[in-house]
Amino acid sequence: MNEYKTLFDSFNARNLTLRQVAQGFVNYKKFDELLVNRNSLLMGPRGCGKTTLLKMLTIEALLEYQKINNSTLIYDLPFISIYIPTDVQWKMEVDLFKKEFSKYSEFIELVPNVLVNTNVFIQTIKTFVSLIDTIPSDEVNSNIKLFIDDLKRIWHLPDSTPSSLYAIEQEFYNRLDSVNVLINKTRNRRVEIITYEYPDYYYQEFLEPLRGACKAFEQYFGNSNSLVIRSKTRPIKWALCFDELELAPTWLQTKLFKFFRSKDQDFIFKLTSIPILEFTSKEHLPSTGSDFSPILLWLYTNRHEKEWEEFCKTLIISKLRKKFDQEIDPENLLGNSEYERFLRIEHSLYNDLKIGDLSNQKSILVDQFSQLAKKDSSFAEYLVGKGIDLLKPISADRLEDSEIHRKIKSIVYYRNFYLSSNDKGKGSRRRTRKIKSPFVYGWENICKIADGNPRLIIGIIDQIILNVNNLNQLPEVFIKFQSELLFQISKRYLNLWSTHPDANIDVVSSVISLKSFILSIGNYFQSSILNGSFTPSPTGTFVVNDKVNHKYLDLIVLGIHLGAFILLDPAENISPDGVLNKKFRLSFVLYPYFLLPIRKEEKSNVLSRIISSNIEVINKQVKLDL
Amino acid sequence: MRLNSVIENVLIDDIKSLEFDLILVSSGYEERASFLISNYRFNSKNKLALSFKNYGDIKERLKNDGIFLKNGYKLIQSHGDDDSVILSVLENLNFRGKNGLNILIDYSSMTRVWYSAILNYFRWLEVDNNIVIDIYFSYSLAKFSPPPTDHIPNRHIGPIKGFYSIALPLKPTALIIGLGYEKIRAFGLTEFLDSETLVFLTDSSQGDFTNAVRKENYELLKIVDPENIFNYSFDNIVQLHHVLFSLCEKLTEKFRIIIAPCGPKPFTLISLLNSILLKDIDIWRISPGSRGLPENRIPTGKTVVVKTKFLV
Amino acid sequence: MEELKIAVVSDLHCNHSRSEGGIDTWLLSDNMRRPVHQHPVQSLIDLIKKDELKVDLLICPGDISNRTDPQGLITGWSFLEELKVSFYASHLIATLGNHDVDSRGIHNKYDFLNMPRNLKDNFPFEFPLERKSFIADSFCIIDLGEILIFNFNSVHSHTNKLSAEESIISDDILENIKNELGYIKKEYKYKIAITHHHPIKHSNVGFKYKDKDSIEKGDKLIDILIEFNFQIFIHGHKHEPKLTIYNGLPIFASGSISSHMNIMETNSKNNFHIVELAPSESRGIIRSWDYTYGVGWSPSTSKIKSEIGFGAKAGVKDYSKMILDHFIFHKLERMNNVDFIETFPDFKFFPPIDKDKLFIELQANFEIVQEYSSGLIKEIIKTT
Repeated sequence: MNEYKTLFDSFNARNLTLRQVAQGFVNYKKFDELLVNRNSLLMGPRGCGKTTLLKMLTIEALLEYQKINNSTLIYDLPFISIYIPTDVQWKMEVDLFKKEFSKYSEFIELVPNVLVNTNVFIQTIKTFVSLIDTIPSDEVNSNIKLFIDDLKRIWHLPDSTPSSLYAIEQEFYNRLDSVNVLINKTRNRRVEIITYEYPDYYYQEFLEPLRGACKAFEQYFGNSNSLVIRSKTRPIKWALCFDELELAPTWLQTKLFKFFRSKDQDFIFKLTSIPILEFTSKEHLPSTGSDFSPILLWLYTNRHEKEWEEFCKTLIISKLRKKFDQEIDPENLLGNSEYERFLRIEHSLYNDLKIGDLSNQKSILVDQFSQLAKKDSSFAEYLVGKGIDLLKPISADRLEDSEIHRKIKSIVYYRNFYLSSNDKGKGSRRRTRKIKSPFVYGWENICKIADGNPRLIIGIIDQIILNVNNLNQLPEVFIKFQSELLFQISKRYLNLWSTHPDANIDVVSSVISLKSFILSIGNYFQSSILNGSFTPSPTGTFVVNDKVNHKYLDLIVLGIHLGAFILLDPAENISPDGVLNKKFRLSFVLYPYFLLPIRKEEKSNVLSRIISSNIEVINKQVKLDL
Repeated sequence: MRLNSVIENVLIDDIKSLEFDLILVSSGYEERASFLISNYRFNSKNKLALSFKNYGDIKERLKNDGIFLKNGYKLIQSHGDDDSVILSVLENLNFRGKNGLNILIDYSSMTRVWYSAILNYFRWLEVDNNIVIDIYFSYSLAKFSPPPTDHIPNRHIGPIKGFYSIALPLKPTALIIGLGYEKIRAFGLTEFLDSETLVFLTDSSQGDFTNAVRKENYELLKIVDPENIFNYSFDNIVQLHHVLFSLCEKLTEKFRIIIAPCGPKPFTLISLLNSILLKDIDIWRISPGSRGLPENRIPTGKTVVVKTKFLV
Repeated sequence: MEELKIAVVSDLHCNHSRSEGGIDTWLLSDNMRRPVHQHPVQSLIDLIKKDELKVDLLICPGDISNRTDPQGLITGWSFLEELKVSFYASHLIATLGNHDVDSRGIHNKYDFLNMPRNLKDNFPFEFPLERKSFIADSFCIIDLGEILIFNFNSVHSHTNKLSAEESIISDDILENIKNELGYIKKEYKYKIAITHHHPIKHSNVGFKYKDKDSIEKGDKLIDILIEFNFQIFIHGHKHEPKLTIYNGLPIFASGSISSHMNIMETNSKNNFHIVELAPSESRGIIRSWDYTYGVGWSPSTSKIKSEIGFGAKAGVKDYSKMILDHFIFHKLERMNNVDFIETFPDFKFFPPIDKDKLFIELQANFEIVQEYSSGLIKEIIKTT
């Protein structure tokens, strides 16, 4: 068994067929928001499930889903979806083409247009095929020829194309071949491209021919005896689902945003993109709410976190059911996190405690406070400042009642855990991770660390399942395993992200990698909460200010795309400013690596200051230890 | 013209008696550049050595120049990234009234830009007469030299001119990497492309080199499915071709293919041939932004030659 | 009626990686079983398990070894024994190929059959009397209950380098064959002939190779087999798989499971096949898989299609007319592949060459949409 493979290749919807996506689909609250009859922009980092949700809208996926889950969604959905994929390879090929032939402006404008159209039309045919499969064959046969004749006319296909949807699809592949032949001939000067007479279809824009095709479908098959088709309102609404908008060329983005703004009676648009899309053309900017609903697939509010936890639970239960053939609560299997245990112990102890009777049985919380105060002079000073002297006996209820208690409890616990006891008032020394007993483990932490990324939670759970041979293993061993696994995952993700081809940028004379960039931020947060003097509100977020070298912005965008930086105030998702003035935290998956407590910090600092205080980290050549 | 899918392993003894219409070699900073020419005599009235403009003052380069001149080669200057000189040489070939042409290319020290330009030229060549062009590609092996110690991250990733086609994103990507000393950041690349990754590396016949490559790419080899790791030998380039050809042919049913040849030149050559022979095979480069100083490569004394055939 | 299932695994050309012949096969005696798909036999065993392939009979038409490599013969045969078990086959029947005999006297100058004679008691098949006559008389007839197998040793005359250049069958031997077959009074459901060499010239071979090694007087042998109602003739040697119908007898060149010789040249791939033979008639289906080094076995998309047939009863013109009549009578405009195969069950028994002719006939009245990679019919549409 290849451990890495299960961790990183576990689940990527892009390479799954529509049917496979449906087979593994676990419903997600966010999915419902996508089902409405209006334009949507599904935003989120890599791995957060955008492609899965979009693919789930297709007829083929819905039919499979219906089969497995007895769902009526396919009839309830007010539109018919056409899924349109894109990917990096395609983008890179087109980019090189445009660079190579940059002096032929018409050529580099028309070719991408034909490519996009061809992509859209092929996907439309696939959709027609799955729709037609739901219609009784005698009804199909009586109309299909007329329908295909219309398609041939609308899409400028040769008359000789046999009247079969399969043949039409093949004809589009021929069209693609002819585009490539033209490119090659131009490169080798067999064609004078400046005077070349392009076929008409080079000048088509996709929407009107698509409208024609969809109208033709409705005309010939709209009344056929298919529940899927009959359940739709008239005129039938078609949802064009463009995946990964950030990879699309600017002209296509502009075009799609234009469609967002115009209310079309036949089409709606469902787009996906990374959490922030920089879009410079102010006049074409669609407005959130009235033109489209943004659906944000990352965790920036408590409600999302709750939903995420529920999702994880369902997912893990279904996975465990497959493995152990019984219903297992993930919380029971994985146990609670260290802090959660502490809280629970404290709670039950507290209930048993008699007020004032602390001589023999101290409150756990009091214990934590006094332990930390002993080894951490900055904390002791802090307490003194608040009028608490822990070196003297104190009653638990006084502490419990104190207003600072709730706020600092977890920081105290965390600092106490990580700071070694041999501090002699000269500032605390951090113990190395190795000698520590496990800290990050348990259901709550695992859920949080996956940070809204289904691919990651699946990866973690697969790893755990792989190592759980029986359900009755020793808790200490299991906790240690979890903790080690989460640290390894944390470390590996940091490195993984940094091996992205765009993860290195030239700044002045040195190469800055995403890793060193993340390191400088992580270290800053760590020193704020752990290494430096005690503060009740440590810095845990950053704001991208305009003093940041603009070259770093690309790294930030990449980090957002990969899910390393989590956007915290997603008001303007599409804006000319891009990432500027927006607030972020690090993904929780990085927290074990930086020994940060997995909790949300409110306080933020501007990025330029974080960078400048860590400039030696950022400039250091990092080793990518995978 | 059309490239024949069948290529042949050829012994140098078998081609010594041939009359070549063109012999094209390169003169660079590697000692092996002149190995073939200084050890074997070939018949041709048209003997040219492309001399690296960018490494003019390096000792080995000047020594190579001398050897080529002594053996009757005309030196032509060209930059390693520029294919225009090589193309003008090819454009001077005379095809009229001939039914066959023999060309010998020693690509041991050529840049990929040069020998890919040769292939591209004949691939798109249009001739009136029914002519067969036999191109013999010769490669002199070099003695083992350890990988460079400083690692520059791979910055330039993407298709190369003339060896890519634009395919729609309807099938996932299969990435075939020919391993060499470039440390491949596999995670990043596989993530970047969402690809199924396959790797090729030399077998035990290149012991030290293979081990060094294995060590350099330890992380990649750890994550690649063991079923996707292939070995090849310089002793049988035709077999490498056969493996790569049938593999690509099969994989295209389910994938779009990217071959990233990082390893030794014979792998690159075979990749280029397959990109010509089969549809939708991109050749991509993965390379660091800037290279260090050129390194001399000492010949082992072994030269492998393959014969390719372009037909009308 | 029950069809007989015969797995055909031919021309293994197994040898040791350091044997003198060099490497021209994927099947080396010193290869590990992993990566699975870089080992054609292990990969096949995987496929057999996965797809639950079962056959009655495993046939190997020769060239188990490569260039008379003893290790190749030993290991190659054990691979076949392993396959027999995997396929749940009742019998494994092989014949000798030119690479299995020592015509060059590499290992034994005086006995070119030294290796096959001494390999193992069950080689090339398990029946001692028949083995004797296979060696002594150059052929044997094997009775497997309902199945009769005629096994001709086409390398019986390859006693030295010169004689190995051709495969002959003397008038005496032909006479003997005729007599032996004539003595048999028992009725068999299935009658199968195997040899290594091809009994008729194999056209369309690669540019480099001339076909001079077909069996001399092979046509006469075929005439005899037809006279005695043989249903199929299976041979190896040529690494390009092909089905030819000769005077009504299907002659199946089964290609090679693992050699790379002549594969690229003939634009073929490595194959194995399962022949499904109908009882008492020359009618059946040949399913083929092809092998890609590193990817494994999958239904063939190369030169031989994944499913070809033989023994269609109707003629091409009549069948075409019947299809048209059916469309007219039922006022049909189009039919998809599933309905087509169901409505015209005999269609699949047209051998490839007749299928091509049938397509041409049909194209007068129909548009035929074929699947891009496999060539299978997707849809057939009546033109007006």
